[in-house]
Amino acid sequence: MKILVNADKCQGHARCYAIAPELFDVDDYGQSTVRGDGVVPADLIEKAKLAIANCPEYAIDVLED
Amino acid sequence: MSSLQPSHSLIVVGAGLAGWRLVEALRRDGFSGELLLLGAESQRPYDRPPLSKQVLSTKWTIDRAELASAERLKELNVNFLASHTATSLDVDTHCVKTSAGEQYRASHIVIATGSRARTLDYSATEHVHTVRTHDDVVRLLGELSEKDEPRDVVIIGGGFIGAEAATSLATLGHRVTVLEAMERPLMNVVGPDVATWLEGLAADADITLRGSQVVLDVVADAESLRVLMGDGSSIGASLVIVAVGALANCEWLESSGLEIRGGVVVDDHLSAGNDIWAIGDVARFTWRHDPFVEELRIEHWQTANDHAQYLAAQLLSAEPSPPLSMVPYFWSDQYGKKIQMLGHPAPTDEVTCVLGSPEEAKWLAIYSRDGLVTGLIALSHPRALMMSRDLVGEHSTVENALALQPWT
Ligand SMILES: Cc1cc2nc3c(=O)[nH]c(=O)nc-3n(C[C@H](O)[C@H](O)[C@H](O)COP(=O)(O)OP(=O)(O)OC[C@H]3O[C@@H](n4cnc5c(N)ncnc54)[C@H](O)[C@@H]3O)c2cc1C
Ligand code: SF4
Repeated sequence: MKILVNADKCQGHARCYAIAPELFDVDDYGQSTVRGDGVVPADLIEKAKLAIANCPEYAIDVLED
Repeated sequence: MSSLQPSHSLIVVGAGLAGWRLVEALRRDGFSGELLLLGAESQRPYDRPPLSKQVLSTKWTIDRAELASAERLKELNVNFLASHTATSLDVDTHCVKTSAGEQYRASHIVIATGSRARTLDYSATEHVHTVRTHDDVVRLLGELSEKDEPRDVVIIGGGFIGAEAATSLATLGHRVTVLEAMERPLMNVVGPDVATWLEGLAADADITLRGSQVVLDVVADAESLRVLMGDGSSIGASLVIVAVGALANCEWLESSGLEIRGGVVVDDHLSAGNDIWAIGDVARFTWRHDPFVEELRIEHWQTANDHAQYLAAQLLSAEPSPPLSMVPYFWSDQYGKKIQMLGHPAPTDEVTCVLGSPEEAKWLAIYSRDGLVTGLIALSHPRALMMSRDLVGEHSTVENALALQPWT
């Protein structure tokens, strides 16, 4: 699985960071980015799905399943 | 064995965020049985937060708020019926009747009928707007576009929706006055201290905010509207919006025998008994956050979403699920700033500012009761807020919070 935060949609709720700090980082304005190249390690896939389902702006895109 | 088997069927009454998110989660997690989604509105499921923000400020067209496209509904094999208003539920036979006289039955029923804008009875009620639905916002924008000139807008109610609508309309160049009944907006939610910190924001955004205002009536004359005040004065306006909170849509269940108390009463598993559940704005649920136990209704996006995720997992799990545990969250974009809150503090809880200051209009504060953290609130500090989330989830003591300083 590979994910990306859509910077146009992200509104800085930092929900993704709260759920999976291993996968996301958030700057002081709340703008979120994925760590590294966005490839989700197998053991973090559940967390990634949770983050996707909890982003109020639908800002986390799945590039590859 | 899980509660929901492929041979089972489920009716979701209410096609808002909670209902749609439940349907999505059930399919995602493998439920292949029949799903019927009934919605009173004529649109497919859409998201409400953008209505008062991006849509009203015309940054987005309204179709961007859509949650479920026709393709997506088809892909998920959901039988979605728009403009179908449920009028009753038989708790024993699981029969849902609609205003058009149809009857639907399923093994499982989920009530997700949300809430509606509270209205007040004015002489000119038909000219007064609310901001709750797709149609509300289309009507409002339509009226504004009739004349291409700045308008005098009066907003009755300075809560979240009122403040957001004010902000959006001010960015379009309209002259906006917000009339708040309490001394300061949101005092009943954020408490008196935080309400004071937020007070200056409206003026910074060129919005006139007046506290302790009593509105007696709104009347119409040939050309404009007039808001009549308790002190005998009046305010002229070409557009009036009333934003005085929401009421749960549970009247249709009055004859059902379910327990209704300003919402559908459910337990800490969101169950109303007999394979009937309620989620989102309409649910009056039990929330345990030791040592506090509260029965409450929360009208926020994250709660609707959390309820939907929790219920889907519970229905599809082979094991009995633990009681609902969540850290409530909401945000509001108003007067050009983002306010975010975690937890569900009482307005009487003690407040300690731990980062930034009200003068900088950038701060993070802790709410506490009996020395235990009950919530966090931040203005323009999203990262620090989320870093501190566990303080609320784990019911930390204030002492511990100040020692750990997770926000740094
Ligand atoms: C303008 C606006 C801005 C908001 N901004 C924020 C924000 O910034 N942050 C935040 O946290 N929250 C915000 N919210 C709150 C958030 O949108 C709600 O908590 C959320 O929509 C609740 O979802 P729900 O599905 O429970 O209810 P609803 O969204 O109310 O959906 C319920 C649906 O059920 C339908 N229905 C009702 N009765 C029946 C019936 N008898 N039969 C069939 N269908 C029925 C309704 O038509 C509706 O479509 C905002 C709300 C509004 C209105
Ligand atoms: S939850 Fe969504 S909107 Fe919020 S920071 Fe993460 S990606 Fe952005």
